[in-house]
Amino acid sequence: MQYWDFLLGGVALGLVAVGFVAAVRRPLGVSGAVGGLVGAPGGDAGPGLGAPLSRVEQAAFLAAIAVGAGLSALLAGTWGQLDGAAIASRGFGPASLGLGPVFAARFGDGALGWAVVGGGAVLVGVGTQWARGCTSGHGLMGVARLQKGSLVATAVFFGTAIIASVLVDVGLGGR
Amino acid sequence: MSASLLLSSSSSSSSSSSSSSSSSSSSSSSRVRPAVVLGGLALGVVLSRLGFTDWGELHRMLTLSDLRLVGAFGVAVVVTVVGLRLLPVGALLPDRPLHKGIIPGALLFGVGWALSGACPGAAIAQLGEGRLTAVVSVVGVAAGSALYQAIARLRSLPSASTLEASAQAPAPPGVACA
Repeated sequence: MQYWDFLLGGVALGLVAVGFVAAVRRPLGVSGAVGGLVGAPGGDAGPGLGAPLSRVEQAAFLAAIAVGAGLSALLAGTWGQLDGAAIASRGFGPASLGLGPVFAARFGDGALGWAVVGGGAVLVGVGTQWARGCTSGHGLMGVARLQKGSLVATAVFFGTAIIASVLVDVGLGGR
Repeated sequence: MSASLLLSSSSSSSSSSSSSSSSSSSSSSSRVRPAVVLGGLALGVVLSRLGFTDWGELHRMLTLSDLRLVGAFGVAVVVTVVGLRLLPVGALLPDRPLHKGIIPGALLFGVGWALSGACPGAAIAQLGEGRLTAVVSVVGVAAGSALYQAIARLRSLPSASTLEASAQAPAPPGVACA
């Protein structure tokens, strides 16, 4: 599939973040919305800021992310044909996960692969709530404002993700 | 479609509970600002078109074997820096100071991101793209988030001397405890 190049994609992502701040008068943050839905205390209001997202708004925001990505995949003609969605056509065989050759070579396309995806996602949930931010709130919004917590968090999560990814590749012969 | 469902349900509930002030009070208002939904839609489109939802693309970014996504993120930060300088509200956004959870949280997040190919936003976008693995990712992110919040609540419980008082505090609405 043809993805946007770095310039178009980067400008678009930046404009989404800036547009959100301009219109909602709050920082953009996905893990904050997730945390609010699972029981985190509400965000702080402040002078000149918009009201913190209510739970309904947090749910609507997250649902809209899925809808936007779904529209994008529909327009690209790839909806439902990516990753494990192809299970229906391929059956629950050894190739059911479909996350690509590197993932399959390291973790297989079966039960271990599903466990790695699920276990990794749990770490993402715990980690982003503990750090109080993820790729959007720390990596984009906080780094752009040179916030100390966000700079450290982003350096650490990018650093460990790079180390983990390099380790995944060890012994695979440079696929 | 699920967004429109939420919108319609919220509008009906806000009309029924119109007594709460919507301008100053925040969490009690259930009105959905259109910009919140539009922002989510646009974020979903961009994450999908960038390939940020693609395990292989993310892996090539994190092994630095393809710098397209690294470059895109850098450009996005620069655009955000400029945009927030131009917006008056940019200077009002709350600080993100160092705290005790930054390093351990980011460590776990980085490992989990590399393994699952899903940051919280990407996991939800993957679900929208019809990726079956995203069902596991979204449930995992939600479960991990709920686990942390539950532990945080337990750890913030008051000490034994005030337990009795706090046990009476969180009475659910509608349950008379007079």
